[in-house]
Amino acid sequence: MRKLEYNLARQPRLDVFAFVLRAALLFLLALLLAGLAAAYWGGRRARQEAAAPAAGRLRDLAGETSRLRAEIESRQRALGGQLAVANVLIERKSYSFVGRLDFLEHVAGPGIRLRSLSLVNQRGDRVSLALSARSLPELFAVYKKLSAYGLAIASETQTPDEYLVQLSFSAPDPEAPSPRTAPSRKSPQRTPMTPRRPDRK
Amino acid sequence: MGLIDRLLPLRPPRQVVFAGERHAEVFRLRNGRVAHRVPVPGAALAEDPGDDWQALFAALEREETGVVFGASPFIFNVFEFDRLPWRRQALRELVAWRLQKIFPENIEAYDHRWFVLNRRRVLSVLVRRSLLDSVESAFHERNIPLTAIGSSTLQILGRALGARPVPDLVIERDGAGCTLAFLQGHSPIYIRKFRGVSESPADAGDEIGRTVSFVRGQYGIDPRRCWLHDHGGETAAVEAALQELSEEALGGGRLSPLPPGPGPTPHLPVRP
Repeated sequence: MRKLEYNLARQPRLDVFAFVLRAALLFLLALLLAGLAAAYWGGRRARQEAAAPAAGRLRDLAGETSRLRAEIESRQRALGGQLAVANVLIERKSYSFVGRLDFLEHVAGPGIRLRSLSLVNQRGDRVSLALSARSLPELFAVYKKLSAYGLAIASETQTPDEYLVQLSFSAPDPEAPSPRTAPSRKSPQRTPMTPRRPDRK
Repeated sequence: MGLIDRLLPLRPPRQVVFAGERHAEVFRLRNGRVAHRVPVPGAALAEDPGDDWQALFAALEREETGVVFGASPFIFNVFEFDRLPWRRQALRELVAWRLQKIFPENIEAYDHRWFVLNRRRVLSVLVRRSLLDSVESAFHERNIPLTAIGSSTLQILGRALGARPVPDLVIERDGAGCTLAFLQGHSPIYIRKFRGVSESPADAGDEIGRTVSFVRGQYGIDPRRCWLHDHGGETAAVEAALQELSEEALGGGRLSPLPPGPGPTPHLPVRP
């Protein structure tokens, strides 16, 4: 309930003493509030000044972090390019010339001589070669080992001392199993063996 | 009462004229207390202030003066709303609209002040401007500064609302006129003025009993504690009349005046 202040006089008189008292109280209150505000802002400024070095260091750390992050991204981009080049090289490196020779060494057992060899530096190529065998079982052993690799016999020539054969097969991949353990998938395509004239020498 | 009013307190007058129904009295104040009383019998200042002021001014000194009218020139209404608007302009329009609904006369001829009592109620006070103008001009002609014009009813109500405990009913009797203000929860809820009864305290007691019974049924309150002030000095007689009222006349209860009561001059802006 509010106080019922009811005065209809046209010229009421101000209570100067009470007014001054209330004004003084208000002024003191305002001063107190201003002091509190000043103390608060002063304290806040002091805290800000005290925290300024830490804030600066924090800013430096943030800048350093940004710089390092940019550097990491740059290096990642560069390494990505290098990695792509390396992957291409690895892809090309997948053709193993030595691996094929090693394969031929395993295929050609005792009594087999390699007379000529044709290789193409490409994955999945066909290796063409000419070889001579001292006996037919030795030659058949070679056929058996190559039968798993698309063996195609171009010609067979029998001489008094040996058998001359020209054949081709698909070069095995580096991960391909050894010809000694590879199962025989199909019979080699044999061409009719034709007798060869002896050398005139 | 706004912030400006709190910051700009008004100085209480040095002397106060109480203008009752058929009498007046001049109170000289010192340090906020009544120092001297000069009765002016037969002065009906609130009705026709013509010649009656002459006798009054003879008893006045040339110092700041206040005039407190009895209840007779005022019209009190307690307006109840579902909820009062927050904006002052909307509230003012709402109160004016409500007043126009119940007040048949030209409102422009009246000074209208209103007080927000709580979230739902507004106390409206009307008094004729002609009365204020005549009082102002009379004091101006005598070169006596008139610094306060008030209402004894509002003064007593203000005192009652600040009392502990707050009375349920405030009775102000002045001659043949009687004003009843029912309070609930530190707020007036119903104010009634009545006249026409004889000046016998017993007649006033009967009418008070009927009004109490009406308010008990209408507002669902049970007034028990009352403040009683009789400007004619017959407070004890009215109290006795109230005590003689049967419970049936009061609607099933008893009214008991609050000790120590409102004091000798609750209707004046002085210290009790």
